Amino acid sequence: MALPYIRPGRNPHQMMGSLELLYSLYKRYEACHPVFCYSGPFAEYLTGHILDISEYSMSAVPTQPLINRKVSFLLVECFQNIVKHGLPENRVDSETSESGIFTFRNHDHCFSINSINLVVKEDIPALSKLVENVNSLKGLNLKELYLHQLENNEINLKGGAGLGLIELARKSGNDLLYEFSSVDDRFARFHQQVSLLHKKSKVTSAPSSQIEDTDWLHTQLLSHGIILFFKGDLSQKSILSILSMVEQNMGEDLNNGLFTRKVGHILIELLQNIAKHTHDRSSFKDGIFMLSNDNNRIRILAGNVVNAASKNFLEDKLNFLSRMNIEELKNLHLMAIKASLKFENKSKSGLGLIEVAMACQGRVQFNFEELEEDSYFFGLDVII
Amino acid sequence: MPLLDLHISKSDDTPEIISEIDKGHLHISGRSFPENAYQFYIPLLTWVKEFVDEHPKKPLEIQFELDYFNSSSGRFILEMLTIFEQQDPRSHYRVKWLVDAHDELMIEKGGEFKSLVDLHIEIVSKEAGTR
Repeated sequence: MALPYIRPGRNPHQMMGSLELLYSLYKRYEACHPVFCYSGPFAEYLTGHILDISEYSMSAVPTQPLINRKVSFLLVECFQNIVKHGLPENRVDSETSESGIFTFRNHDHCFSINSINLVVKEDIPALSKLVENVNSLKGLNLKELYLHQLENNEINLKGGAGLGLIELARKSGNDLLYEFSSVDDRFARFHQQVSLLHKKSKVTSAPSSQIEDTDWLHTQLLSHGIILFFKGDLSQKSILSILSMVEQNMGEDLNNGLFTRKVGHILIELLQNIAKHTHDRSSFKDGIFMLSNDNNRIRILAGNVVNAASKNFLEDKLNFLSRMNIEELKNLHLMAIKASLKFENKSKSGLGLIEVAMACQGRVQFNFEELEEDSYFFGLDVII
Repeated sequence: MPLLDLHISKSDDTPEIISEIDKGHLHISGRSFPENAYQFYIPLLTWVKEFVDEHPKKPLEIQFELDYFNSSSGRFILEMLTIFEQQDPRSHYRVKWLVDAHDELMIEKGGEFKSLVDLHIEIVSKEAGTR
């Protein structure tokens, strides 16, 4: 078998600003419901959170229950494959060290899971042979291979025998797409895609490759230090799953978890506000969210689509808040919370943005991009 | 029918609320950021109104032990404290605001309520004594 094609390393690129990146991701993935992306250390405990985010965000999309069950199975299998077989960080020297990426998207009746993780170049021929072998078999033959691997005990120390890959091919019903790209003399990135077509899909050909797009996304996220990116239904359940993931990812900080708690507080306030102000273009609260963690300097970006009235309201309020120092913000909050007791609409407090501005001591930036008549993309950037 | 004790179990986004009328205690602990704070806090506000009506002379210690709460929860915590503030005598009601010693955010929140309502509010470090 010929050696697999290995793409050369990435070209240097011009770095976008954070709010610019948020908007460009929104536009790029506008038709995807949802898109999720994690680019941090891969660990077993994340599996449950990723599954929750997928289930909650997919529940806003009309699909058959069987598809959702298959999606859950594929997500777990894919993610655990990387946890088991991805190179542990301590095996990667500091020059090469980079986080991998795990991403899923639902677009045009196709659910795709893409991942990138580092492998040692000498492992490439064996890995390619394994995937090619799996792709060459269909239906019963795949089942036979599965049973053969299981019975012949060809299991390595990490518990794998290619069983995961066989199961991915069986359950998805599609070829596993893969590619390698060079990092340096010793390491390469292993790109993988698993796709599942919905029954309603009118697409008869094979699912399109998202490998190049995932490579672009990986480059962008790495250069901005982003560990989490999500675009989809920002329901309370999705927000809770995101929060749990962030809390566990940050772990116990030097200050007994107080910093993590502060981040959680701002995250909740921001995402609930974004969900609340979303322009109802569809039945779900579509929003976009990113989080970067650079030496415990947390940056949260969130955005959504708002109408002209909300744009004017938000713009005035944020401009007003940006002119205030911390003492003035505190006084304003006192007045606002007292005033909120008199609101007829008890579900409205009008305090969210003041809370955010206070908690991050005014380090808030925002922008609006016109999309169409009475429709604007609103992006918010907060540094904690 | 006499007022019964309140027991609301905690969830991922709402706090635990337990009252002990006999002992004169009301304890609220955990995190509070429900999507609809109004819906969540209505039973507590109703209970508080019935308590002050039914037991006008009974002292009550209200303990808050919150990790954090969202802005709309804050609005309802203030509404509850305002109900106690409006009673005569208001000195029957004492609030203990329990915080981790270095949790500036929650210390500040406690201080904010202290400046907003005319009630005895103590900000107490869980590790040591009163601040």
